[in-house]
Amino acid sequence: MAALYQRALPTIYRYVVARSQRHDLAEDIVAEIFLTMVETIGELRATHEAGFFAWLLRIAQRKVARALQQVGQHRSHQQPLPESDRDLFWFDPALTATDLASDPEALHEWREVVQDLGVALGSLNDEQQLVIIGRFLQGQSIEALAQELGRPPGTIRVLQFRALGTLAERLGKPRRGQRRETGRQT
Amino acid sequence: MISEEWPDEVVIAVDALHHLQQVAVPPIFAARLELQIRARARALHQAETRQERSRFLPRLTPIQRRLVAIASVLLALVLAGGVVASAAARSLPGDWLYGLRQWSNQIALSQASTPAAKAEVAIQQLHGALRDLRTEVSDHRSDANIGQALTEVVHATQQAQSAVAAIPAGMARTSVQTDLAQTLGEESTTLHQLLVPVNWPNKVAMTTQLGALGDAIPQITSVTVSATGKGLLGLTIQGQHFVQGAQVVVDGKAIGGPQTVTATELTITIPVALWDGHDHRVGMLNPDGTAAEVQVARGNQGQSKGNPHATPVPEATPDNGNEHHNTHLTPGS
Repeated sequence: MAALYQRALPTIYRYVVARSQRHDLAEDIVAEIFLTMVETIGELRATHEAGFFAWLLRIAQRKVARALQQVGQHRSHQQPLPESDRDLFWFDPALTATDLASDPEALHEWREVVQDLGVALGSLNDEQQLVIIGRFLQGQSIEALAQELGRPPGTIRVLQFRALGTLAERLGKPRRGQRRETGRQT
Repeated sequence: MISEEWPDEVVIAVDALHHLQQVAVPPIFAARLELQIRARARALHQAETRQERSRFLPRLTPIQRRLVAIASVLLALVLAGGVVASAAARSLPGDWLYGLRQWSNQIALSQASTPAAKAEVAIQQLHGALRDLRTEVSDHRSDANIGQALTEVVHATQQAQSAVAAIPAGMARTSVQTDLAQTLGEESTTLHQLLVPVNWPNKVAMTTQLGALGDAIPQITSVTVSATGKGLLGLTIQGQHFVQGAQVVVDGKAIGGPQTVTATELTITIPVALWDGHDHRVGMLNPDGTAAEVQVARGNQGQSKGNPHATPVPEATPDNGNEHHNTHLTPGS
């Protein structure tokens, strides 16, 4: 279980950070997700790893939705936070890879992209989120996701493409030169 | 990482997802959370153990306890069919996630504060292993999965027995010993019930475990092969606890009922073709499903000289010459 926890934690943590936009809140949500996992693991019957991650991500989706709802209700009774304070709330240099932490400009750009992505992810439905997170953060195959979701692989590809299209639409048009950099890295 | 060429219109999304991958989990948070998870798992297990033991069962006789258990199950079935479905959905030996339960069990054992508490946890885990085994068989899971569940039962039994033996003499030990004895009785009953539907290797393994629990089980002490002519061999199996209706099993396949059956000896005539030039596994199966098996090593060919069938007759016994041959026996699989 320790190995499984260590493999699942980064994916769940990244998803929650992006969706919640605040690392302090994210830590509470992530802790709640894994503690729920311990309490309800007996109800899970999965024969492969993709099944476990999908189950865990569904818990994460519910917890994030509830937390955002509570935060929204709380904020409606308060003045909005100034931009600088909001940055402090969600962003911590310790969250990022070391090469970024040493380059303030790149760090700023990175933070903006992740913030925008978090908002864009919220516009996807649960199944699309599951496919995108499974594919891009957990590195799962189309076939594994198809098996878990009980859909043909072709349907998963369509779900993935539509989800990426929605994300791209929300994030804006590609920056110059991005095609060359990203298309080959992926 | 996924290696694909992406269409221009989605590249920005793929790029953003790569940015997200650079979010690092703070190590202090990860370590703290792992401790929290362990603590929660331990607390859950202790609560479960306390809940089960704090019920009024200690004041009831074993028969009353069984009746209460049956009534509880029926009540649960009527009132909460969903709960039963949920319980059936627990991971079992052979499931990919079963390792999680084993890990959780190990934590619960290691966190027990006293030898008596540890023994109680071990006994609860034995109950769980027996429940899993019953589910594996009733759900018609694979033979390998059933075998794994049986291995878990054997392991949990040894663990519970060791844990109880480690409790210092006194009231606590006496109480836990009573619990263990009842649980081992349940194990014996369960294994006897499951003997019939399982496959041959699992029958042999279950019988072995029944023997470890102190039940009278069939045992083979010697196998004798003798040439009878006309392409036939005589097979004599000696041992104990054979009963009428027993069958002889060669290499996992029943070859029929013996010509003679006593509590200590079975004899059967088999075609030479069944006994080629290799080692064989010879077993016997009682009607109640208890079984025994031994490996019959191919004997010294030089000593089988004079045998017209040139079968892999094992080494000759000193008193029987070439007509009868005892075998090299090793415990069956």
